[in-house]
Amino acid sequence: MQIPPRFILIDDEMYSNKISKTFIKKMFPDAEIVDFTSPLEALQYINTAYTTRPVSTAILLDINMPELNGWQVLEKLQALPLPVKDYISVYMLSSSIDPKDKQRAEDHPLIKGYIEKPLSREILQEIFVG
Amino acid sequence: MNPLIQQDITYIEQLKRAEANYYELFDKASVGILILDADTGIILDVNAMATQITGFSKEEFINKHPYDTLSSLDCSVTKASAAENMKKAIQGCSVVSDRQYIHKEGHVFWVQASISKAIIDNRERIIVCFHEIDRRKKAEQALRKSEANLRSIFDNTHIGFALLDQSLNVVCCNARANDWATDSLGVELEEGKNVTTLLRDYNKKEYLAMLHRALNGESINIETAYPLLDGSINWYRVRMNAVHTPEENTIGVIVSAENITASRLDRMDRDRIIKELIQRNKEHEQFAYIVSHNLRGPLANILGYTSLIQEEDNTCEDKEEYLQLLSASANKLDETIRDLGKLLQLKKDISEVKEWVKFSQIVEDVKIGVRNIIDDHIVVFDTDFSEADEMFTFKIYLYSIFYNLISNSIKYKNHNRKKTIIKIKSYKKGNKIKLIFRDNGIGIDLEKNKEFVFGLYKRFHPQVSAGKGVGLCMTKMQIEALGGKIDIKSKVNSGTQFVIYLPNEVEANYP
Repeated sequence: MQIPPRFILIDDEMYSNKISKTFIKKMFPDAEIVDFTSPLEALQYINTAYTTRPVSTAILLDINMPELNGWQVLEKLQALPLPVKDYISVYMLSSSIDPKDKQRAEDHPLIKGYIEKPLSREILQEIFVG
Repeated sequence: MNPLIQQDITYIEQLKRAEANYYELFDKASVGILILDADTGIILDVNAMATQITGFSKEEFINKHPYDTLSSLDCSVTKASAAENMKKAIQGCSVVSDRQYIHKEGHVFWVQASISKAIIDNRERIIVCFHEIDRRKKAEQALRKSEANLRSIFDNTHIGFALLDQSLNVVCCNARANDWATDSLGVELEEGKNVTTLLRDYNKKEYLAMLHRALNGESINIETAYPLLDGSINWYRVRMNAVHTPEENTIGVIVSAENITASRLDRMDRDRIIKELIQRNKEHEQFAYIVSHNLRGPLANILGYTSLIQEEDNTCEDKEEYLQLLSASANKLDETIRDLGKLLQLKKDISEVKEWVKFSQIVEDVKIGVRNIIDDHIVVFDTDFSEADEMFTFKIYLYSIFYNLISNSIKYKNHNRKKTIIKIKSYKKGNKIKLIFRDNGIGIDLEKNKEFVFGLYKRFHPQVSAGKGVGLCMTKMQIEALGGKIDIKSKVNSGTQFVIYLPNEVEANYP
């Protein structure tokens, strides 16, 4: 597994984003980290940035958000043109321990994995270094 | 030979032959025959069947009175009436009677005897003919006994029976049916009375229709409630079936009713308990969902910052920052638990007593409660509780439900409209009360959010109001705790409508 050069964090919860960002920075100092508390802004960013200059990216996506929830964000990502989708790997990052959420994530074609919050060194190691 | 003598001989032979024929008939007759002298009452002749039936020999009868040989269980009565009958016979009447005698071997047997007068050899004779009717008599007695048995079963069974003719007149009924008629109709089911006039107005049309359907061959089997005159309610299992002649002609209808009030109440009790358990179970699932989705968020942050603080390369500023964020996450967790506490308070509240609550009064109370969130925008209440203005429930829940829905309509008003209109109308739907709340506010995009509308911490207009996303979740839980349900229809920028169904429990005890 290659360490992606860019991480996009989408989580309405600032505190949670901060934790993820700090650990990623510590583990992968060379990676670029872009974080959003608004899923709509994140989608706008992906739409503009990736149609011109796509970069291999891991998206860490929260489920419970008031504006658009994680599943709705996935639908929008699904609608992106194929070449763009080839560059992104989506990971659900949720505090939910509901097995139904985990199952739904595993069944989704666009989702690479389901991560229970909080993000930690161990999880990053396991997913991106192996 | 002298033809006269010849004639005489022929005559005598004819006589002799006639006598022989007579004796042949007399002895071979299938009835017992006694021939008595009309003056003395003494037996002159007895045939073979008479000795066979009684067990006494010819010698034991001849030249005696019948009662010298035959005895009856009640001799004095029999003798007296026999003398009476004899007198009647002499006067020319033929008398028939059933009598009980004691056989020579000691057992009792029944005969039917006819006594009549005859002239034999120019003398008045009494002829007593009798035949055994023992089997018939015993069968009759058994029938009477079984009839009495049936009658006592008929009158003592827990099922009420009434037989009606084709015009629904009472033909007969048992004691039970009569008791129930007295309790619930105030009249006895007397023979000949017509059910059409006996029935009270309560569901009368339906019952009469059923009786006619039964007369037309349908087999009716229903559970039904009927109010007694004292106001209490009894449940009956009622069956109605046509009664036919052997030729298949309908001659009436048999109605049977079984009082099933006790078992019916048990069943209603059981249904209520099952409903409550299902409700509890749903609440537990809901609670598990809330724990998994809402409590774990702040806790995950606490875990995250705890492990960040333990990192080795932290600067003093880093540590300071993490501690602050840790504390903020802990506060968030505390706040969430407090919100949950409010939701779970439901359980405690339910131990309160139910009372009659007026919707109109609740709305007036809520108007006072929402005063501080109404700004200079005009809010108009348009309420119609004419169909149902009252229900037997927990007032605190009903207030909270009304408060949350009304305050939402005010918070999420459409500023493009001159005024906010909140319409509330109540309906009676069987044993349920239906409430409709409708506003002309900004609405919710249900295509996106239908499944989340009633979730905890679900906010649809974070930019409009600083609500926390607790209100609708709580409203739903409260409505469900009351055994009701809530549904939503909404269109963005046009308005929102909530439809609530609540059980009208007092009425639910009636069919």
